Amino acid sequence: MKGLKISKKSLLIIASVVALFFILGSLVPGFLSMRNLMNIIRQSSIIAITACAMTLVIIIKGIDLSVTGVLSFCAMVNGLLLLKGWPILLAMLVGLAVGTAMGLFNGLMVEKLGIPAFITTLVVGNVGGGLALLLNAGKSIGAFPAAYVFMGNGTILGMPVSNYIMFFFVIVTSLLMSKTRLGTYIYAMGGNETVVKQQGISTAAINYFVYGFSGFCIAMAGILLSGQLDTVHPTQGEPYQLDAIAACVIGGVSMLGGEGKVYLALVGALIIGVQRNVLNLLGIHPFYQNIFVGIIIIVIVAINIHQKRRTIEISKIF
Amino acid sequence: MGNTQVLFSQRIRKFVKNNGSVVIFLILALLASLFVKNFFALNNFLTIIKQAAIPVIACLGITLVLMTGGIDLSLGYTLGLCSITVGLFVKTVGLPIWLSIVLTLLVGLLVGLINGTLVQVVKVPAFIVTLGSGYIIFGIAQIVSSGSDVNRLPASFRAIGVTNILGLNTTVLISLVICLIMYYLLHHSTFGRALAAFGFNAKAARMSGIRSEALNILVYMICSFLVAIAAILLTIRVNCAQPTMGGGVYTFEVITGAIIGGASLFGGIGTVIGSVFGVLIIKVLENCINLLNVSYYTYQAFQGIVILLAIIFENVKNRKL
Amino acid sequence: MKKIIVILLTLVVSFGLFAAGKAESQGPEIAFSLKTITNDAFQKAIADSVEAAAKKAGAKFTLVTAGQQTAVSTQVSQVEDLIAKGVAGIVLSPMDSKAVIPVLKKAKEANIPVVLVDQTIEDGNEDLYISYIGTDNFNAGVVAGETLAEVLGGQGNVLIVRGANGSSAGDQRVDGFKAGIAGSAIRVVGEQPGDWANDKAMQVTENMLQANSDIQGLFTASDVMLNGILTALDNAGKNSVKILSVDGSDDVKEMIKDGEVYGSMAQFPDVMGTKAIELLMDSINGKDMSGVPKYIDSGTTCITAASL
Repeated sequence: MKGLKISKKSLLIIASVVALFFILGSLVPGFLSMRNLMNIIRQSSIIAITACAMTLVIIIKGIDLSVTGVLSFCAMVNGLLLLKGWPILLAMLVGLAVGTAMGLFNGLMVEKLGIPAFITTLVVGNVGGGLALLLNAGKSIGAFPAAYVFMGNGTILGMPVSNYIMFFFVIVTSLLMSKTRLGTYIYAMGGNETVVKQQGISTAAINYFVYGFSGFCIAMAGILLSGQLDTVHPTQGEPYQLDAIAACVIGGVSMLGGEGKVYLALVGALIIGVQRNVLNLLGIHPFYQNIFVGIIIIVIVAINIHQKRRTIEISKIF
Repeated sequence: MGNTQVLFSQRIRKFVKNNGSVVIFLILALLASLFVKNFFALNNFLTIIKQAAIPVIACLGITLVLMTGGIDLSLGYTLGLCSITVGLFVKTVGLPIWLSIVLTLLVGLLVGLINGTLVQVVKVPAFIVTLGSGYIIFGIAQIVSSGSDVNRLPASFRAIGVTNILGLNTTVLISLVICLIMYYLLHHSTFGRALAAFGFNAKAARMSGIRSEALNILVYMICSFLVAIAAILLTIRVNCAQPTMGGGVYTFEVITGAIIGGASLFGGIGTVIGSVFGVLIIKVLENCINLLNVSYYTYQAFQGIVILLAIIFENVKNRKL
Repeated sequence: MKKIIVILLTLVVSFGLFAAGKAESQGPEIAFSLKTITNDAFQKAIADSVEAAAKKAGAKFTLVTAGQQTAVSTQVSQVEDLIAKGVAGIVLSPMDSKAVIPVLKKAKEANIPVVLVDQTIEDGNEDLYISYIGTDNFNAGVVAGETLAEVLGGQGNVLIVRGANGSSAGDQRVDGFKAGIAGSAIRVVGEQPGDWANDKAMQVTENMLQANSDIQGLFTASDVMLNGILTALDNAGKNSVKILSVDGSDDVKEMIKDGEVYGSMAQFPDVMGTKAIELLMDSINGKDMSGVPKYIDSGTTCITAASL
């Protein structure tokens, strides 16, 4: 990417990550196998895609709590159409459109009615979840066409297709945020909304875009998940709500708005994935897993915040 | 004659503006009385009040936290921890009831202290602190209980919540007393004023001499304390102490109640009456859904849509009036 | 960022040492994957029995739960991790009959034997597991329905308190119950989800009683909701309602003895656990598993006061 300088600091960080991997590899049986690492990325890809959009939402000081419901609902719509024999791309398009529409509705509520994003996305998500249950009387559907399942589970050149899709989303969103004017406006809006308005930029458009994009990404995540599982379970979105937000925050997206890098949200998603993976591989009792997850989340963010407070200038490389 | 008319409509406007949730509640109650069979009955009203009494306590707690611009996502899990704690103390360990209750309340205070300290001193956003602490609390609750419930609690313990004094259930009475205390605290005391000031502008509040650090921590402690009370009462109500009582769903239901009641997520705004009626609205909805025997798959979407309408009304009204 | 890594490192290293220190037997590792054992005495009983049988057979036991009643994708991720870890055998209680199929295919490719307990997967995938040992949830519901119909003399009004939406076990039990009462004059006058939670079950029961105070029977999809239901009935002064439930937990046996509950469909988690380990160990030790029946009924019976 243009303008990327590899400073000594970044090299140190990369070295630490590599070292971490080797230490984990020696202590945790099965961690360093190609299969496991690919699994981690594939499992994290769902969180990562939602985190892409969630980053933008948090940057403009909003939040999207509709992940659970929208994910399940869009996947259900998509799945039902697939079973009716619709062509895969068309079914996916409808699913994505539904998600985008729900996202735009969130944007509408936030923009036109001034309803806090917290509550509107929460309730819209709930309605979506309810619709997912309603569409098929609470039952799951599955046995999708082979090509569709390949998208979720197949590999091309040794890497799962899901990962390609995830990287595509991350790269596109990153470029959007760092290289386009829209990206600048989004950051600006998170920093100081009044200034943005004074400059004549439509905050309404930004709101609509960000929430609509969020709906789009959540729908994609749901579709991808149903490909991985070859199933749409009406409540399958449940674990992803908090994971998406945690991924962003761990990745350094500030809850105060105005800053955050999309590819760091990806790192956050991977950290969550690695953490879960390691806990599973070590066979740690599920009761204790909860405690570790909680501690890690708090510790990581606490460190992040203290680091930011000490360094006034944040290196733009990382 | 024109003057009194204008004054009257102004007063109506003011009432609606300040008490949106009361208005919504009345509209819902009216519609339900007309269209939902079995709704309009004293028995049913009493049932709804009993169902709302306990969530109201937790809702008042979270209202305070919301007013500081914070949030407590560990609420539902704290409920579960306190539930199994009091159950284990009372039945399994066999401590005297008063001691069990005191210890459980202390657990609640401790949780609040930790949450508040992390938010105020370490400066981690409340969302993350309480998200993390929620997981930790859930884990602890499971470990402490080995995943099991404690049921068939001693009658003397249950008596605290299920006795009828002058025709009113003790749980409802306790809830009422807490509402009154909170009302005084929030609307007629320096604490309440300091809280609103802090919520609106923390820096300004501090500069005007309010000890905002202590205030912030205190608010989380009060919230968790109230949640502990709610947990004890709920455990008595269902006659079963469970580590999974409450949970994430409960947290969001209580927060929704507070927000329908007009509490703002940005801090500074919140009323006792608003939150109480916010919870009542949710319980009336759930009551109607059950009375109408709405299909179990439809109810979630249905409830969501009604709540959405309530929130839209609340916001439109705030702008127009 | 560097500090984050250092902290993560420390945490993981300590976990690793902690876990390594706890390693006991060197036998084959068998993992049990299910939804949750918290607040679910029945699932816990299966887990306990699998663990006991595994230890007895000299195997290392690992418990993996998804943590919630409906976190389907979490279970799939966990099984993937188990495959990557290279466990010797997997006991699985699938949270969804279809969602686990792709991952079971991977297990098959990795030559890891799988036994299903409590829940099964879609027909047509019998090659993915050695055997399914379970109660037929639908059948349990049917027997419950028939029992209640008999007790009520073939007529009356009943309420149903379901499990959480999206739970196939719960759905099957209720569907079975309805099939069991079909043909009699018993009417279902109220049916709402209790979400496997006492406070929710109590609330919906209270509300349903408002609309239908004249009821003679009640069916609930699980014992875990009984405390709330009983209290609601008690408060409404309905003390002669005949209640049928499912699970056969120790708690409900007390309730049956006391006459509060008429009966509960017992399941036999011990059979599931013991048989599952037996089959897995046989497979690990190289025995030919082709003759094993695909479905082994672990049995169900209605526990009533008469049978206690």
